[in-house]
Parts: sequence; C-alpha cells; structure tokens
Amino acid sequence: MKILVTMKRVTDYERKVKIAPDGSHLITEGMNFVANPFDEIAVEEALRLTKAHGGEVVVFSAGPKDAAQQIRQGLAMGADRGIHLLTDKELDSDAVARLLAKVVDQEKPDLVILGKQATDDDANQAGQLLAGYLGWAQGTFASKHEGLEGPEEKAQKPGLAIEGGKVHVVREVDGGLETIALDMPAVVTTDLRLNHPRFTTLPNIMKAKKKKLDEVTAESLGVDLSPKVKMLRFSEPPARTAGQIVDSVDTLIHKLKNERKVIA
Amino acid sequence: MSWVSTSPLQLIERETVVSRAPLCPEIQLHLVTHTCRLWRATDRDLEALELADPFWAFAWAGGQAIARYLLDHPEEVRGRKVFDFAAGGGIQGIAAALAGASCVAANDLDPIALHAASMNADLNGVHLDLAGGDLVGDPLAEFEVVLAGDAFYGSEAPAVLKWLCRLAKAGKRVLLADAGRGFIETEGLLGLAQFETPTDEDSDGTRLRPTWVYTPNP
Ligand SMILES: C[S@@+](CC[C@H](N)C(=O)[O-])C[C@H]1O[C@@H](n2cnc3c(N)ncnc32)[C@H](O)[C@@H]1O
Repeated sequence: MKILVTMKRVTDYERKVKIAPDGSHLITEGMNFVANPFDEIAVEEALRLTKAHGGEVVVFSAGPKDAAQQIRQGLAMGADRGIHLLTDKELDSDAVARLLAKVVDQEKPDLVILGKQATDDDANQAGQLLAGYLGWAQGTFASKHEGLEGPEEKAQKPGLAIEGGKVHVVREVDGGLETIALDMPAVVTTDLRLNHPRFTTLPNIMKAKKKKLDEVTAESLGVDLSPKVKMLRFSEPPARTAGQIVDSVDTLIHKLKNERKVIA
Repeated sequence: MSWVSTSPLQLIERETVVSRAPLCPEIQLHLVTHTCRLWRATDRDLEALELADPFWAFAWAGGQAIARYLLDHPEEVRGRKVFDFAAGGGIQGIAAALAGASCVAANDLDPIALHAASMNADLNGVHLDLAGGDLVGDPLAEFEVVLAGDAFYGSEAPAVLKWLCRLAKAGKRVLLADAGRGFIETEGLLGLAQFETPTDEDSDGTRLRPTWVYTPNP
C-alpha cells in the first residue's frame, strides 16, 4: 500500500505572528517555522497503517527551500521518501490541491492523508478540493473511537482502519462520532484526536537526511499557481481594555447601567 | 541541555552507554540509546556540540547483519587480513577480529568514528588498526577481505558498490550488507544470508528490517 501525506511548513503556533503596519502581509523575518501539527498526525497515521499492512509513505510539501526541513521531519518519523515542490509563492488551497492531484497521478497512492487544516491559515479546504479534483471518496476530520484515556485504549481503537479494500474512518462530527467506509483510493483528513505523533530520535533524524527527497517545480507538473483566492488584509484581534475592580454589587450595576450601558 | 566540547574520548564516554546490538549480543559497544541525552538531540544540539552526525553511535542494520554473519561463519575471515569500510563504531570489524582475522583495519571518514571503533575494540579485547580518509577507489592491496556494513547511502552509493565489485573481481572476498535502503541495485549481488534486524526505526524500537548480506556475483 502506498500512502501520500502532506507536511506543510507553518509559522510556529506557539509564537505570536506580527502583522505589517499596513495589514498587507505577515512579517516572517525572525519567525520560527514548524510542521503543521495536523500534518504530523497524518504522517503518524500513515506510518501506523503501513506498519500494519506494509507499504510506503511518501511525504509531500509545497513551499520554499526550507520546507525541506518539514519533509525531513516526516522522514525522521519514519516515512520513506519525500517530494518537495519548490516555490516561494503564497499558495491558496486550490493550488495545493491541483498540485497534489498531479502528484497523485504520478505516484498512484492508495490513500492520501492530509491534516484537516493548517494552523497558519486555517483554511480547511485542500483535502476536500483534492478529493473533488480526483473524483475520490473523502473522509474528513478523522478522529478516534471514544476511550482517549489510557495508552492501551488509544492503541486499541484506531480512527482509521483498512478492511476488505475499504478504509473505515471515524469522523468527529457535532456532538459525536460517525464511522464511514470509503472505497479506495481515497482522501482522508485528520483531526486533532486521531493519534499522538511520535517524537523523532537522533538516529532517525540522521537517516532521514539520507532518504530520497525529490524536488519538483510547478512548471514540470504543468500547474498554474496563480491564486484564485486573494488575501486582502490581516488584522489583530481588537485589544482588550483593562478591567476594573469594583467594591460592591451596587457599584457594578451602576457602572454597567450608566457607563457601559449594557443593562437597562 | 548544556554541551561542553571535550576530547573525542571524553565525549564518547560521556554521551554513550556500553550496550549490545540486538543481533550480536556477543559484542559490547559504546552506543547512544534511549537513555542518553543524544537520543533526542536535534540538529541544533549537534551544532552546539560541534559534532558531525554521530553514525558511530548506533549499530546500523547492515553492520549488525555482517557481524552476525561473521560470528556464525568465522571461516570467512579466519587468518585473513580484513578491511572494514565505513566502519562507524566498528561492529563488523570487531566481529571479524573475534572470528579470528589476522588483522583488521577500520576505515571511516569521521575521525570520531575511529576513536569510537578503537574504544569499542578495547571493550571486546580485540585490536583494530585505524585508517582515516576516503579510500573509495583504492585497490586495498594488502587486504584479502573487505567488509561494508550499511555503507550505501546517498548519491555516492553506486560508485562505492562499483569499487567493491572491482575489488571482488580482483580476487578479494567482499561482504556487504544493505537493509533495503534503496540506494543500490542488488540484482548483480549474491545473497549469502538474510536477517530480520531489530532497528530503532520506530519510536518504540520494534520494527524489524530485513537485511541482506551479499557478495558480488563472480
Ligand atoms: C550508516 S554508518 C554505518 C556504520 C557501521 N558500518 C554500522 O553498520 O554500524 C555509515 C558510515 O560510513 C562512513 N562513510 C561514508 N562515506 C565514507 C567513505 N567514503 N569512506 C569511509 N567512510 C565513509 C560514515 O562516516 C559513517 O560512519
């Protein structure tokens, strides 16, 4: 079985991003970059499936030269090889989906697993668009059967399982879980509770540097990267004004009524 | 983590534990295992330590396989002069010495690997001659047996294999091992033995890697 997974390079979600004063773009100088955590979950799930069923895991990332670091991370987790689409352009989800569709044509995976969204733009579109372009079945927000407590339970109840040529996906939906069966090949996107991605270790980091990482270009794939979605403006959430401590309920009511005018 | 650079000897002592590779419990090695801080080191930590990738700190599947093969087939090396190419921590050279080779030279590009190989030899009561530098292409006139354990990585792998095949044509016994890493064509090679080698491939350390010991086809 061959599984294609994505590993997007995103700004570190633990650090605050800075916005250019005119709101036109994000300031990336000095930013730390990491792999999209939902994609790490995708890689982990792919490794679990190939461990159970045999096969190969191929990591794809579209991005600048340094996106190779995120592919290497996937390889250090245990994936077999990487494909790096080199570009310095900002890509919208549609361009990513069309690139992936071409890679799928060449690689012919049985399964494509992507993070449900990237933590930088929160678009939540690439997987769905890809399934659309390919005409494949899709299982979005793959999650885990209940029982998230003990490590044994977590290990016993996978959210993705392959049985009789179909992939069974446990999906997180409002207020519960549903289980669906997809014909393969299929597209699956991962939600947060699907698994806990493994840490990388030094021998695996070293080995990963030697694994095959092919660089491709949008031209060689015949994909036009011009975005269909244009980013207009970034803005910070409104700053919160400082709170006040009042000495009695009466003062509070008085202030809410007369100063803030939120109660009558 | 604080990393103080010291002599290679001190560094190896400090960063490793004496341990055994799963396939060759007879041999003791200074290894980085999950109990060592280097186990979870990143590239940045290595930089801080001014340490090149410490390949010598792990017993790779190929080295384990050749070592196991030699311990099981000492006649391959008994009384013969052995060259251990890309020796790393020297596991296959130590096995050759234990199997009765008349002398063994360990070769590696990484000077620290040679220190490690020498310290590992001491642990097992054998001696390794040390040879630094890149000897790919050398006729290795003084040697009768050439070992190459897990030496096929990256773009230079086919050239290394060509050299080893030439050495075999010239009459040397060449033993090489590859764990299906995909950098060499194994079609023109004769499989001598296959092992399911436990490796540190998975975070839980349970993945078995099918590893072949080959010799070039005559
Ligand atoms: C994966 S390690 C294998 C070490 C050992 N044989 C084992 O199996 O555990 C590969 C080693 O090859 C060495 N190496 C790579 N190219 C070399 C060359 N041209 N000459 C000598 N050593 C080389 C590296 O420094 C590294 O120690």
